[in-house]
Amino acid sequence: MTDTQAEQRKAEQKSVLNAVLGEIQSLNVKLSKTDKDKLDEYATNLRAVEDSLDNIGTGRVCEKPMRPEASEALNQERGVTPTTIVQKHTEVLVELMALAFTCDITRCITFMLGNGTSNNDYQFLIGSSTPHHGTSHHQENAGKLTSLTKIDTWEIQQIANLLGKLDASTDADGQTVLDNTTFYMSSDIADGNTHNHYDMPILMAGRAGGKLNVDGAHVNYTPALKFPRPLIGERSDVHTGRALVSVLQAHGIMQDTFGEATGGPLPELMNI
Amino acid sequence: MLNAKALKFSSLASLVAAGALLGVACTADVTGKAPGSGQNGSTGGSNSIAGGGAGPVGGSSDFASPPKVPGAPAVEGAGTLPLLRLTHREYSNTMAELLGDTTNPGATFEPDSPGVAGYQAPGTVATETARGYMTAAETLAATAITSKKLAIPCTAPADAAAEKTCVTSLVQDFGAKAYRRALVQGEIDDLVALFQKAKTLGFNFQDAVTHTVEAMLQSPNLLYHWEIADKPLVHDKDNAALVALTPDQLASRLSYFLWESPPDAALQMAAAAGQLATADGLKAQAVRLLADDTRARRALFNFHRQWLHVDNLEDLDPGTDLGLQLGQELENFVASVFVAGDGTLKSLLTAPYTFANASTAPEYGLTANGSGFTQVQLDPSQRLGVLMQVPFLRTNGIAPPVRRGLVVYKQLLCGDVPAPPPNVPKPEPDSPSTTTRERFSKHAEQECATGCHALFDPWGFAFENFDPLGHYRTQENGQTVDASGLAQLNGVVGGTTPKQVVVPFKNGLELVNALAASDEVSWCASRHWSRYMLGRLEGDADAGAMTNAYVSAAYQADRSTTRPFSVKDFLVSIVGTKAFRFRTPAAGETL
Repeated sequence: MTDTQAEQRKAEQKSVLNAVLGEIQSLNVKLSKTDKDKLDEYATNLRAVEDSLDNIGTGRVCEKPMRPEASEALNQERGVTPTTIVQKHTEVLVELMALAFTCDITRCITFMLGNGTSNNDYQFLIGSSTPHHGTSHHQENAGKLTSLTKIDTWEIQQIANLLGKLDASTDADGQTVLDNTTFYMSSDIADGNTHNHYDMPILMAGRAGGKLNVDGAHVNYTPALKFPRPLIGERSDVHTGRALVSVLQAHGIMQDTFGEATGGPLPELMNI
Repeated sequence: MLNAKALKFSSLASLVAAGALLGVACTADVTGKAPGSGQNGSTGGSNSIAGGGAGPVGGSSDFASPPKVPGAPAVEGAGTLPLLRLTHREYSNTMAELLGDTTNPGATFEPDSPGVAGYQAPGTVATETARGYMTAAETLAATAITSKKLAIPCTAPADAAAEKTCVTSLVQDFGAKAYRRALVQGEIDDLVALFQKAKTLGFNFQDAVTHTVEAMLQSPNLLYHWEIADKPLVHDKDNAALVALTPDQLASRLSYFLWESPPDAALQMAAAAGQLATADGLKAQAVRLLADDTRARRALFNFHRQWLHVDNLEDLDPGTDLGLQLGQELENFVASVFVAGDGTLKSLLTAPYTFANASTAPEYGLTANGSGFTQVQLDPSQRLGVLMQVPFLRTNGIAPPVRRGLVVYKQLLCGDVPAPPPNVPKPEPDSPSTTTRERFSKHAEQECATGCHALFDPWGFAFENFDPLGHYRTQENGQTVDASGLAQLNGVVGGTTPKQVVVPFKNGLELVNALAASDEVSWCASRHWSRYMLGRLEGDADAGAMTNAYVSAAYQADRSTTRPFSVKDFLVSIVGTKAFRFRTPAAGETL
């Protein structure tokens, strides 16, 4: 489909939706409150679909994608030892997330790779069965540490893959989709071996349409701590909370605190 | 900002303990009855809700017991009709009838969930649903027009005037089927204007027609059941509060009720000819619709799979389509009972046969050839009726005594089940030395489980001759299976005075025979069919109609001699009642 055809199609879709909205309008006057609400809901969401036609990036035509090949494989794997299921799920979902933002199907995604005590098996990386939870209790065992490094590296690669896709897509305003996105990655725990909650790893990317300044820097908020880290250390939750306040403010929610964190956003993150 | 998107990606190793206990649970504050529980089960509990309108009729609107000693017909009322969207199954069937599409497009939407009445009743439309309708309409319209399954009534019109004539004709004819009524002039004008807009945007004639059809496929006139708010307004001569459905609305309501599909040409013609204006005219059409094996089986299957909790067939046996095949087995069976057969509840519950093909026959230890289903006799010393067929047994095969028992208690006896309290312990896991019944009996004895599991588990024990997969067994873990119990029923056919009757049963065969002979079960089945028809719980306003339809299906013409309850006759009768032909306008509706 050429760009001209895409524009023509978009105009046509809008006039079709408008015709449907017109029919709803004429039916609505007759209804009781409860029934009217039901129909209003359809109208509201048709308008949301109509609006989304305007917000679709120009870099690709947001037609419904083909069913991912991987999902067929996943179906076959149901009920079987899931040696590669994490890998395939993640690949498919990364693709889907990038597509969903590019096509403005949604404005918000949370993605959890594994739950708190996830035993996702990384056999596909390590070669033998390697459940994540047990591996993270490495107790300085060199083999487990090597495996954990491979797992962590693979996880970050998936993120890089996602961010790369967002960076390669053009949004409706001509910016990259990544530029118009806030990306926030963390874990529920800093070190799986010791269960500590200070010194939390946080990775941020995207510029929130220019409001955030997170590119390229590694900021250490607990510089006084030397390796090996002590079991109980300086509280970094203050900074974690302030990072989240920064995200809120970048999205126009002018809240100054989050959890126990006071002090407003982290100034080095803000571009406002 | 035009776009402000947020993405949170949480990963990495973590060791936070998190647990959730799952379990079927209960409270001690219950009323009800259970086989062998020794409780007085005089009140199965009424699920009635205020329906607005006529108030108690026919002596009592307590739905807990079957209507007693039929005398003169009850005074019929009619409740409100909520505006309902087509279920996704209805949507797919509608597309099949309108466009010859067999791709089941509704299956791609966010699944429907059960409404308050326990039967699918879609609520509001989410953005994704609206988008789904749009995308489906685009594909369906393009495919139908390209394949000529939806024929454009002209070829290469010479000029704009000829095009307009052609499109007007299509909009009128297709619209009458799609909207289940004749379009008014304003609607025709708007759709023709949409076609002309598409032409100005540069689309060729065929594509512009396609886009016009797209709009009709997304129209609220198609996507909702419009049994409300139409003119001219006709009031019931006996009760001015009731408004008559129009002939078109009656045709649509009737066909979606009995076919889960839009009206065919014959039904639309009957409506236009005024034949639906009388109860007898409607009933004659109901008889005709129920005899249409290809379409009546849709609704019959749809009702029974929900009524008997034959759920999640798609996921029953991952990686295979066995679940769907079992669904077809059930569909064939209910069609054989209610389309071709005598239509009685007794046949549904006790017929000694089912249908099988090459995939499903081994589930019964039988063999069959090919993918087509043929009728097979089952060993009547092992299996009788729908509750002893694999589709029911297997879809209720997880914690089988609980799930199978719940269907008997809640769906066949209309018993109340209290909401589960938190923290109910799970039954003990499988072990090689105990039977399922022992494990679940122990579970039911635990303090918090006695209030409810005692209500329904014992019914489920009757099916212990079937393992979770629905295969017949007499032994479990080296012990002889005990499927006996006491059924406490509310009177039986043949008696006109309701009484508590305790029926001991040795096994499931004896239980299903007792259920089939119980007027309490017949009445409960008619309540469930009423909910299915109304799209809501039955209320006071419906009681008179339900009573009359029940009596006509459970008694001979003399209205005092009982006969085996005919579901088919109930369906035909209820269609002729005021609860089907009229409605009470909702508060705030502009008439």
